[in-house]
Amino acid sequence: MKEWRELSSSKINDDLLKFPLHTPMWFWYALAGLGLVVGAGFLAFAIMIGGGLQFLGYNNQTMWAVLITNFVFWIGISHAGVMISAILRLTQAEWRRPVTRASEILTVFSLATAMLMPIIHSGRPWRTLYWEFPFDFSRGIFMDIRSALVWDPSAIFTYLLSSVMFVYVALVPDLAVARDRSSGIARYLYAILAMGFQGTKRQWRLQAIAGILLSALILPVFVSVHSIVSWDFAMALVPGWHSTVFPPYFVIGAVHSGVSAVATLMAILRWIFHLDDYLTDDHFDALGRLLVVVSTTWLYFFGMDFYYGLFARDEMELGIWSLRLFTPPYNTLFPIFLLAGYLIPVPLWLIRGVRRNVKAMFFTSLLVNVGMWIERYMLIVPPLSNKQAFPFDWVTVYQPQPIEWVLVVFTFGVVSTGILVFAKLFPIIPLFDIKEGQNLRRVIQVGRRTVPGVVRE
Amino acid sequence: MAHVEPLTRAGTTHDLTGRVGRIGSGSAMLVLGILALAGLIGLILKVMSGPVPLNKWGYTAAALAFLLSTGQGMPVVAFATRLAKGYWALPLRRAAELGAVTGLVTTPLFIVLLFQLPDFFGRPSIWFDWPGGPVLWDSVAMILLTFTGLAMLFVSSRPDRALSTQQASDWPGTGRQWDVLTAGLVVLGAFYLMMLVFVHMYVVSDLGMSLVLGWRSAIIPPYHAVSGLQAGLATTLLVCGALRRFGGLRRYFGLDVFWGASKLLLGLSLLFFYFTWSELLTNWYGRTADEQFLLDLFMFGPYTALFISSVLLNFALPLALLIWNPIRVSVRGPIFVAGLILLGNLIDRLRIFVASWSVAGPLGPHRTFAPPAQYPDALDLLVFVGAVSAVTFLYLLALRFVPPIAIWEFKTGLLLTAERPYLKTEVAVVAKPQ
Repeated sequence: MKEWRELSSSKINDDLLKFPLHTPMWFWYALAGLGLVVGAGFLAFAIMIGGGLQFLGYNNQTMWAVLITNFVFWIGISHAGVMISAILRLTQAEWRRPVTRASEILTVFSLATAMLMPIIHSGRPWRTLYWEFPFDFSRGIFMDIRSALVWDPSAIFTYLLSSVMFVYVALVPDLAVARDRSSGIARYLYAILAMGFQGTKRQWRLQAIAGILLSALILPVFVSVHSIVSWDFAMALVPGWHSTVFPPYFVIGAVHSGVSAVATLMAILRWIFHLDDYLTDDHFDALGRLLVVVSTTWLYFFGMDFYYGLFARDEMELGIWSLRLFTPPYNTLFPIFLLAGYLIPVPLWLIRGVRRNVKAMFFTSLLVNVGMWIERYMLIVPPLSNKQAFPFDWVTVYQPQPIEWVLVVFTFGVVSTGILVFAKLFPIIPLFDIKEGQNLRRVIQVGRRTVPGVVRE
Repeated sequence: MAHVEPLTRAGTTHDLTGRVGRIGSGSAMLVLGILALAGLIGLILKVMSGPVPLNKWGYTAAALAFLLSTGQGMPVVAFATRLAKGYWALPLRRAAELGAVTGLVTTPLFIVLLFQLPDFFGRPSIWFDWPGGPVLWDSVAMILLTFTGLAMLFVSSRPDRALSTQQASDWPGTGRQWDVLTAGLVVLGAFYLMMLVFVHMYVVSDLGMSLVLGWRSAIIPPYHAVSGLQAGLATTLLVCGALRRFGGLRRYFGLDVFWGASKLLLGLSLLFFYFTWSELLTNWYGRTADEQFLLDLFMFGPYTALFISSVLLNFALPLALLIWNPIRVSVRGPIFVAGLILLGNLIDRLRIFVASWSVAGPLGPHRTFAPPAQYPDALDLLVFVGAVSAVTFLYLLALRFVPPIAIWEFKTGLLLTAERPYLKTEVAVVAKPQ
């Protein structure tokens, strides 16, 4: 890390607990604005419960579209937390320290939002309970355990629970600091959540072990979640979906999308909370480098899906790729997704100056997620819209309806509200991790130059 | 226990330059040369007997894929650890880069095999009847891969050769030269990785998938590449173990090297399982006629034993062993696991390519039953042993010209690490310049 700033323990406490312990006026305006967006989404949901799925653009062939795209997209974003936190912690990457908490929180709220989508998509949310839980043993009625309706919730719940535990374990020392620096009801609540953490040697040891164990245990869960989501498609015999490469392709796409979302979030946090001392240009540089590797791997898997779709010269597969590449509106979306998801941001990230420019990183990472949302849409809709063997299956092109766009915006509103409220209640950058990083810093003299170094853990 | 002096920069230079040309006995190289020659004769006899029946080429194709995965996977270890600034890997980078010599054996072998392929016109393939495919473009890709690997070795060993020959006049080590060297290694490494991934795709697609009508699994090229990287790392570890044990380099190949590599090996073993599982589960659930045939041919039919052994050796046993700290954090544990993986990779390549060539033939209706398992004949064994011996011979020959450890990189590592006081103890500090 080039940009080293000596930060005292008290400065770290002051800076990072400022927002949780003091409420600025803009917080209420932001909350109200986001509340309106979330409210609009719930209103749309209520209209659909009253009137059914007729408000969506579905037809007798294309019955998975924007809502399922939202589901896959937010599951993808949720991969940010583990990628940044668990993998970088296990590999002892120093630059992870200020980035971990926000990415873990992004995971939690993205997952919760993703779970809402299939429930809304079902049209009759209360009936989903019958699909998930055994409800009548006496008559031998049991849910179909081979169904994606059981796999998906099981995997996502497991991931959500482990992510919450992951966040909480890392939060305990910071809660204790917040407890010691607050008063009244806030102090009481922080004290309960801190579970008596006093920073004894044994408590630190347990906290460190729990963090490492959870990092290792959450990795298979992280891979399994998006693999299972990909199998929702790959297990079907729908041409364009039935592909063996879908699991790794979805996972790496999720990581691409998730890490980009972390970069976007970091830029926003730095601007809103004036965290220039903590989220330095070095951190954006490191995220940019990581993104170059991740996005290129994603492009490779996309290439495999494309190439081996054409490989067998199967009429249906060729038809779907023809639809994606040459038929409106997909022929417009396809270049947009490729340009936004890879061709514009990645060459820019190869330039050091761009990686170290927060504004540039903000816009390029945002662009990636525009591209990745369209990518999910292109994966899901064209295979269902392809002309089938029987004329009665020849349908008009699926057109997303206004209510579906409201629900897209709603998902962003839910995630943003969640992160904002969390940042209000708890430090969004881990205090103890930053202090530990400060403690481990050393320099080495090489000839006439002083090179920054770090104690090997 | 004998007293061991701490490593110094001057001592390292003196010690390692003194070892150039002293590793690998002459008699061992003679035996390897004779075996390589016998393999070449075996290959010539095979070629002279004509391309048909096609199933006689399965073992040769497997030998090629095995060498591509093991020897030609090694330089990627050097590139990846250089890119990630993994200091633990400093001693093994040269051993890994030397794996590039494998290309001198695989390139002609690949070209010979390409000429045995049946007519590709109208056949499902990555070439779509494009002129020159597969023979011309596959050959070009393999030649480029080999050339890039050797170029990487040449560039990386430039400062060391200047040291060991005591003729620094043409490479005095100016700032500009060092800049070109370090940037060049990154560019060459990235290009090598890209070409390796492409060549894996060409090999498994043209020598495997295109021969089995109905096989169009998009995960197979990444599977082949990832299991190739796993085998490349395993081979590097085995070579390091041998250099440590027989090359007198115990001081350089310390615990850190094997511990660091074992973590990567564990990760790659998990990826092996993930890719295998993705292939299996999608076909299992799909259950189309083609998919049932593929399951029968590659997994649960005549080659079941190979499939089970491959999963055991590439995934189950490495996982069961490497999750334990005492095994992972040791020298012998990772070397043992690397041996298992190397064997597992060979079995996996036999499973894929022998099975594929056993059903190769002219275009026609898709098959529904897998033919019985095919066993190697004397010529198959001769070609395999000869190819492996040729690679080993070339590796030992290369060690006569370059030091077994990149002296300049190792010395950089010594410069950038130091012991510093921390509370009541001393800790290792690692500097990471931009």
